[in-house]
Amino acid sequence: MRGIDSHLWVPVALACVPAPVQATQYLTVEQAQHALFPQADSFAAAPVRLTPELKGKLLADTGVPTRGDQQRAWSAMRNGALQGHVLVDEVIGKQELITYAVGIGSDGVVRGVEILDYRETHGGEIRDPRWLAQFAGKRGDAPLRLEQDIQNISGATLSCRHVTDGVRRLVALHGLALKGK
Amino acid sequence: MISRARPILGTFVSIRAEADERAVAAAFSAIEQVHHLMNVHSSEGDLARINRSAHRRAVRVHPWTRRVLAIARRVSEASAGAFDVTLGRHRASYSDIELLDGNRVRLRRAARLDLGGIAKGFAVDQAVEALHRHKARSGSVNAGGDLRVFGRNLQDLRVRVPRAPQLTIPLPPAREGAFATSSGYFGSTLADPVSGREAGIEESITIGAPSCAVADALTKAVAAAGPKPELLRQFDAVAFLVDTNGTLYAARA
Repeated sequence: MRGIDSHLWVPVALACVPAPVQATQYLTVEQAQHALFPQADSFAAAPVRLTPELKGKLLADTGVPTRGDQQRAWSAMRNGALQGHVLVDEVIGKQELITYAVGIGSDGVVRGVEILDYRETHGGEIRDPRWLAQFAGKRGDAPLRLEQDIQNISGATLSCRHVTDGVRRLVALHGLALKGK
Repeated sequence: MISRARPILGTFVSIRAEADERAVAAAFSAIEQVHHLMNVHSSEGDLARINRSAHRRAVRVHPWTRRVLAIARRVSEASAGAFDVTLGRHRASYSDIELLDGNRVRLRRAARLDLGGIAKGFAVDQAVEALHRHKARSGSVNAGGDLRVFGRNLQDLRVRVPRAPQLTIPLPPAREGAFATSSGYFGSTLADPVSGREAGIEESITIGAPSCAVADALTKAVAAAGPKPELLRQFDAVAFLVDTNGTLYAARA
């Protein structure tokens, strides 16, 4: 590539403190409930116990493994009538820690998906002083800290595949354990 | 200030705006509509219909699809094909795409188009337009690293460091503008459509431009052909390069 070989590129002297990305809280569980079912007037906890049988069936149906022994879920009610469910789940991957909520109508159709918390986790190298040494002189004395709430970061971000896999699993779980309840 | 994020376009789209809930909802639906029209996998979308039959007869498309193809053509022409939405192995090129009256598109020969290098930026532009329509005073839309900001205040901008995408360094702050970055991290690769070779970049290229569709498309042209001043001038753009040490370079018209 003709990158920095080209004389057209001129170094920019900004205070270049590299900062680890990025943690943002978008919604609380309660805000997500109202965002997904704005017409509902109450939300009743309806957690689902994840038995080994249920987990096995979910894996067979969706190919996505299930962790933990309980799934957080709420019934969205309006004037005592069931509107659907809100399920809250987490993706804990090598590079990400993401909490998301899915709204599923009584008909089993997904009403929406909202990210509650988004956090890209660091690789171990961030804490390795040898690796950090390459940024010496740019950091000054500023400690590397997790930047909260930076919206405007350019450059490819994580794939959302783990979340979309999770949504598929939650729709299957809804069909098996929550639909009509 | 409302701040929301959703999984769309294969990535995370976040929208922040000084606006009401309806504005943000309209912005997300604009992005979903662009996704539906222009991703290869939605079989009833415009792109799939063009790829299936536009070489046999003209295909009527949504006005947005026509606009994307028109922007793509301008960037292709200005960069002598360094950016090209036709896939090389069919021996077709951007000049085989005919844009006809009535939002119709025809292909002069069988070709496959891939709007992956421009549609995400265009989706950001449509989201910003939706926010403007709903009287948003300021805000930003970020679709997996293609972003656009607007409003009265300067907004901080950052760009990821190649090979250490967990780290970011600052770009000059901006009130209005779009920024898109091409790089090899997180598994994506760039191919030079002229040579067909992988550009295999160690550095990342960021383009700042008035619209995100143009910024998105120009990243590929500049990664393949360098930051030609006449190219940047034509689109009122500025190019940045970040090397693997986290040093920032700029090239202007």
